Amino acid sequence: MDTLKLLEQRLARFLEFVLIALFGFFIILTVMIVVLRFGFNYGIVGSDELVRKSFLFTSAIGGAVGIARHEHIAITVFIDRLARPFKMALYVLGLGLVAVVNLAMIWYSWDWIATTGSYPWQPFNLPKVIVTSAIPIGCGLAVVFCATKIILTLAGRENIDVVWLPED
Amino acid sequence: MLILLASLFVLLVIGMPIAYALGLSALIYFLAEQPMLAGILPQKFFAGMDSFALVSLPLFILMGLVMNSGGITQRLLDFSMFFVGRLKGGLGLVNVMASMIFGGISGSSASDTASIGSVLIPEMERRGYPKSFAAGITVASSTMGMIIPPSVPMILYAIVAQESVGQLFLGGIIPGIMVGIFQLFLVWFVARRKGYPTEDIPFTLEEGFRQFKRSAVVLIMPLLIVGSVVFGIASPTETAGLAVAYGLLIGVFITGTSVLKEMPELMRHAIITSAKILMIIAFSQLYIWVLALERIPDQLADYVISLGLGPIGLMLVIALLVLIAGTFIDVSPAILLLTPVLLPAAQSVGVSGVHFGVVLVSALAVGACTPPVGNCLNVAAAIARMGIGQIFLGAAPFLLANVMVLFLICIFPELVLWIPDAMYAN
Repeated sequence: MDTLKLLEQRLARFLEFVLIALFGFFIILTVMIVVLRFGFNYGIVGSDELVRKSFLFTSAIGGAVGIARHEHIAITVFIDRLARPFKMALYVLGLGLVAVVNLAMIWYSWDWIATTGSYPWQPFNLPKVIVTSAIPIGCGLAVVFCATKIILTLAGRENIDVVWLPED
Repeated sequence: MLILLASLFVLLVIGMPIAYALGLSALIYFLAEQPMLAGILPQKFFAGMDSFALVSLPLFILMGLVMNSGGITQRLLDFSMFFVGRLKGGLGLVNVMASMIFGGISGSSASDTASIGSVLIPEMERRGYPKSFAAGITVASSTMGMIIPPSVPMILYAIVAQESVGQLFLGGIIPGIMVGIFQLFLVWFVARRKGYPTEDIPFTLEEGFRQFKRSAVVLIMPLLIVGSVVFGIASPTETAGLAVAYGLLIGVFITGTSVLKEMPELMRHAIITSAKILMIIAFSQLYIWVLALERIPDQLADYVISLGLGPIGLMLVIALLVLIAGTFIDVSPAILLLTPVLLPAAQSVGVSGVHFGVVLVSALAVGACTPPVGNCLNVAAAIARMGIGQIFLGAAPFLLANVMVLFLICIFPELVLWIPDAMYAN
């Protein structure tokens, strides 16, 4: 269990690093767009598209990391009042259902990506699969985190005092 | 349709994350009612996240976090102290005034509660104010963070309702200021009755100039943000990016804090916060699609017209509904779930989308301060080490100001629409 917990933490930390890098990239790009436009009357072709797709990846991956960090918005007022075994059971059930939704998204995105993945992603003329793969990647990571959380919770290695952190 | 609503209700009650509860209930609906359409779910999900306007969300969240850790809180408190500190209940008044200004910078009530509360709640307690009063006024005044521009919930609503961010920002100005003024009066009134202390602050022209000079770079920020969006200098996303850069410059060169060192953690926090909202947005597209397939908004609109309530009557009913819903559900999911259902009904009786948005956000701001689901209460409870029930009792008299303003803006839409109409008339 220690190894599993360590692996989960390392994966989450690595993904957070990726998120910060992507976020930093699109912050710099967004500022550059304005500076170049007003300062030099110059635009970067496809910059908006690049920002949008970087953001899409950060959201898809961030959603998965949110599961690892207990950072999703949920109404926990009812389960917080339950005895610990019931609360744990509902938390595990919830994670199982989250995994089901994500598996369904992967399943249904398969045909979609197979059909449209080779279309050009404009204005870069690259295969569209580069961007549409954000869905199976994000959902796949979410399934992995759900599975590890279920195992760790059932093994008593997961703190469930705060099941999901409230929204900021 | 019953399958969708019943499954959603059950999944929410068992504590499943709202985003995935929406996704699963939509999936159940499609598998049961429209299996041929289930294959389109990933495309709808993808389209829900693929928008340049949405990029402004993490940027505005990061802007608030950067400003928060950029050491501006003390400057705003000193600035507010100069104006209202000498009056009865000075620190309470400072709390409200600082929240009015801070709301225009952070765009979030929870960060307002955290930054102002962590300084003022202990200080007010030390000066003899009851703790519940100190925590209560901090929580109640933080609601202005959602109403006064720039406001993250307003941006979220603008995206969902496809309304102008600039008009919504402008629409929140008068209601936000009204809440502030009413709360200032209530604090002063309570302080006079209870004999709360005043602060010994020099009220001279030199001191006023000194305070203004210290805070000017921060005070002009909301004007720059709203001005940039309203006058179309930059898109909301670009404006948010520039605001982050501006906040960093303030933190590094003016207040001299270690904001750069904290940036990775701030960025992590901003992107995860935005990702969890984005997940709700993406999955809510499936829910909205089901509503459209079942023609629920149209049916509700027809029903509302048949009731003959009129725009004012309907907005009052909606405000009440949202106040109740806001006690159980967080602000972002409430905006995402209620807007597609209620907005078409409101528009069918002639209510503008901007008016509806400001009413919705103003009502949800109250919900953020009411148990059982009140984020600002949770933040204040952690700072003051009190139960959320006690803090809510302390906040309740001041939240009356919010409720009063809410009903006033329902009855007099001009309070919301006057500035946007005037600014966008040309």
